[in-house]
Amino acid sequence: MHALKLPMVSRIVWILLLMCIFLPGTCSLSFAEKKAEEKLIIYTVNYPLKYFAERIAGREAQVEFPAPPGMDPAFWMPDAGTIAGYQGADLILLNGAAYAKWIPRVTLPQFRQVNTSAGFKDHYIKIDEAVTHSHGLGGEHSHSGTAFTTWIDFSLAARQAFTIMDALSRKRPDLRDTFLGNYQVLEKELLALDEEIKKMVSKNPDRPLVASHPVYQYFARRYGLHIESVMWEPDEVPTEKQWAELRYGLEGHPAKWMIWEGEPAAASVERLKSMGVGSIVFDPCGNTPENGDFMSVMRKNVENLKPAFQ
Amino acid sequence: MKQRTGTVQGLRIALLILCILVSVKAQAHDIWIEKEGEVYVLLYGHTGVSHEGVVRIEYSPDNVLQVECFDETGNKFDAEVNQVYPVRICAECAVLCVLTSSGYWTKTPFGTKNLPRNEAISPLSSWLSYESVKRIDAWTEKLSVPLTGDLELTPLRNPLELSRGKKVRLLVTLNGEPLSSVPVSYEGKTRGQTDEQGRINIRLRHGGMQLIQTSYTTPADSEKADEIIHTATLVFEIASEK
Repeated sequence: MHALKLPMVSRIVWILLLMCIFLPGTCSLSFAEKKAEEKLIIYTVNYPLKYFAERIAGREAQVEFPAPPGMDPAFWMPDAGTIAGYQGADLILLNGAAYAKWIPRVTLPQFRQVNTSAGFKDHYIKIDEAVTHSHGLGGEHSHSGTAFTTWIDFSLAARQAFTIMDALSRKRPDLRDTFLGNYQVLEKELLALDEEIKKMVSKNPDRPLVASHPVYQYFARRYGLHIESVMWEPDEVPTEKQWAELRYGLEGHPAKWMIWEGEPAAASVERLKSMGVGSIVFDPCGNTPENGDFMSVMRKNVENLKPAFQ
Repeated sequence: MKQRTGTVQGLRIALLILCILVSVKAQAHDIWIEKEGEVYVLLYGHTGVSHEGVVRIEYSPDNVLQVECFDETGNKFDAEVNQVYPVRICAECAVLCVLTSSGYWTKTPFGTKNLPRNEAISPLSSWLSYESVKRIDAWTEKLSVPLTGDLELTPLRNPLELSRGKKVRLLVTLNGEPLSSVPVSYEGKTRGQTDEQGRINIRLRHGGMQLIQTSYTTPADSEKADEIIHTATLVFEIASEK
């Protein structure tokens, strides 16, 4: 019985092998084709880069940004499993400008990392005001560093998006036109926001502003804003000492509006109001927003800013 | 929204606590001089002796105000200084003294600015910062006296022949005058303060590079700053442990 069946099996195998040789595609896809069919796996270090990558890659990539909600991705430290995810990605999109403090502490494949702000690294903003701290010897030192909220200068955001488009095109040259087309739509939207803010600020360019946190450096530079920052948390009511310091600060920098990263506590808003200072939310959107997406959050931010320049 | 806000607050508080813990442990930045062959390199950051890991922080070469190289007789001679970061000094010095300054600093309600008091918005307090560093690579009795007018730590006996567990006897001076009741730190921790003659003993707790630091504040008497903070570091190497 077996002796009769074996020649038949081997004949079928031979026919299949010949089909594979002479009719490529009938058996399986070549390695390159298989690669091309698979979605690119992209990991990012913040939400804006995820949003840009998704807009540009469309259905051609699976974009992951694994930081838990509510965490500031600049200071987040992923666990070992998450780092393994980054290590296995086709592309790792970095913000640069000393963002994501965990990056230098782990080993990621060098050739798959893309610093999306490398094109303007000469224009990073150095913070030489930074936080001072006392030490055992009674003196004080200043920790200087690099400002990292690059994407709220929308012209820089567009450059970061271009770098993503370029990196995707290198990975999948066959989809370059698709990526370029998607990028151009995104760029147009980002530059429209850029124009809108410039136009808005031009009505009252010298207006002093106070920010609840020092995260608006690139935003201030691009749009010529006069922003001084305190170190307040939106959901915490400041201490009496902080109020007193602000009152004193406003004597030299008479701001009528405070920009908050998130919705401020009602008590803070009321007290500021009593000092003649209004509250505005401008969410840098470093992490995934609860509602909407990057573009809708930024459009809302721009709307929120309008009263400050009227 | 409330739940998320609570999470954010919790995470931020945790981060703040972590930062406080790190800053307490890490304390101040170090300034030190390493020798690479025949060249001295001025470095800033954390040496790894008193902190976890070596961290080099870029500084402006313009911060270097003075470089003084001394031979074994205590005579000063010229050294070739390469004024790019990190500053390199090419000379064979028994003692090398470098004076740096990051300039004026003013604490304001809007953070601490690298500005003099009269240029800052709503100044709270201000100071002019001087940091000096002295490295010893050879020894004679003539080097047991202060060599500069800056805040200076001077070993009164040859520190290079000491070993782990031994004490180095030091003199702390400013403008050549002994300073009493000045705190002196080693491995990032304050180990005591100088006596009436400006002297203190410090026990060396490890082999290799030694960093001993002190700081002293004087009034500035200027519209630019309330006070001058002088910080001095003494660097020398002893035999490493086997």
